[in-house]
Amino acid sequence: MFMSFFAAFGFGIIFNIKGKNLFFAGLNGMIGGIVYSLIKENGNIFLAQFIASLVITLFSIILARLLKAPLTTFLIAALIPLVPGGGMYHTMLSIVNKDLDTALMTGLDTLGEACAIVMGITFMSGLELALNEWFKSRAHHL
Amino acid sequence: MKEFDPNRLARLATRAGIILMRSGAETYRVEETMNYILKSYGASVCDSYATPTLLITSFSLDGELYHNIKRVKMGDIDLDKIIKINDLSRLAYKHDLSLEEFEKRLSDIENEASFSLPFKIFGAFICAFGFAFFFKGDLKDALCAALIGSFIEFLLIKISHLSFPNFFKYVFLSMILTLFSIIMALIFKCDRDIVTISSLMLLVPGLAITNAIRDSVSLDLVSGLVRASEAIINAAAIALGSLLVMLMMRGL
Repeated sequence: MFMSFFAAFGFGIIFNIKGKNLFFAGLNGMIGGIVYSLIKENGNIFLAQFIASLVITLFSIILARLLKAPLTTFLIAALIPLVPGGGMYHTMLSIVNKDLDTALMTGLDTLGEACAIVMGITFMSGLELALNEWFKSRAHHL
Repeated sequence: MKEFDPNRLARLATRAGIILMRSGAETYRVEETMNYILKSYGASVCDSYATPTLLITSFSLDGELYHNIKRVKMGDIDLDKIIKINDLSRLAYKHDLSLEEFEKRLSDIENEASFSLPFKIFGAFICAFGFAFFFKGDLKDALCAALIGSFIEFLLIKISHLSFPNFFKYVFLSMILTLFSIIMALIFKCDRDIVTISSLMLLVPGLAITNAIRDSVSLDLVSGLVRASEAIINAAAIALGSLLVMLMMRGL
């Protein structure tokens, strides 16, 4: 599960992130991978996707504040390991083998996992927007 | 007090917006940065509207109204350029940067080379390598996946300049990828599923997915829909490509 560091790091290179930001993007990916694997082993895969994407987005917000770089820099590369590519592949494999029951089941699971990720990012991004508004209004009052 | 041509300011602001949009920034960031640049040179009532395909900006300066409209074409993702333009707009706001100086720095950022081809292929190599372990493969699977991944990245960069529909590019790449992993699995006796998935992850439209969500959250709904359809079309192309190869292999 520490290997998601390399996955996110490699994506960082492909997306042309440079310097220390690249390392932190990889680190963010590793944190997401660890959270995901830990929760998946002890329970629900949807919960794992949801919490992992929450944690990744939260860390991206913190890193963006600390390193004064746009949030997407850290989010995109770290998020990709969570995308349910395996589920998509197995759905297709079942379709090819004319096993439509399994295909439908894995397909719906995959869709649910994707929705869980979307929920995680949406929740945290909304929170970030609200916080930004709050900081702005406070600075205005002072 | 006008010591520069306002049309030039309009052009520079949209140019910065285009670079941001092409490099993969969120919509609100593009709009905010453009307004920021305009305001730092004394413009008032700045309105910028950005979608992944179109930029519109309008502002007034000394009682005159100026506009600029630009068509945006999708480009290479380059997150480093977003950071640099962000810093530049902040610099222009805080310190008095002349428009010439601003244009010079913007051109520098625009022409800055991204990582070299071998280094990007190396990136794809460690990326697929890491994914194989993430999907619980062993060292043999990881090496096979990394080899296929780096080859696919090489092809992706080589054919990215062709004016061929993106959909077919991804179908083609994913067909080659699936074919290679079936061959690799036969030769090296590695796990075919893990090798295919790990290298397939390189083609996943991660940026489009992330930006679709974030644009929708900040209520830039048009951009959100554009990005979402981009992501869905890409994902469908990848699925179709590997489905085709698997069906053909089954027919043999």
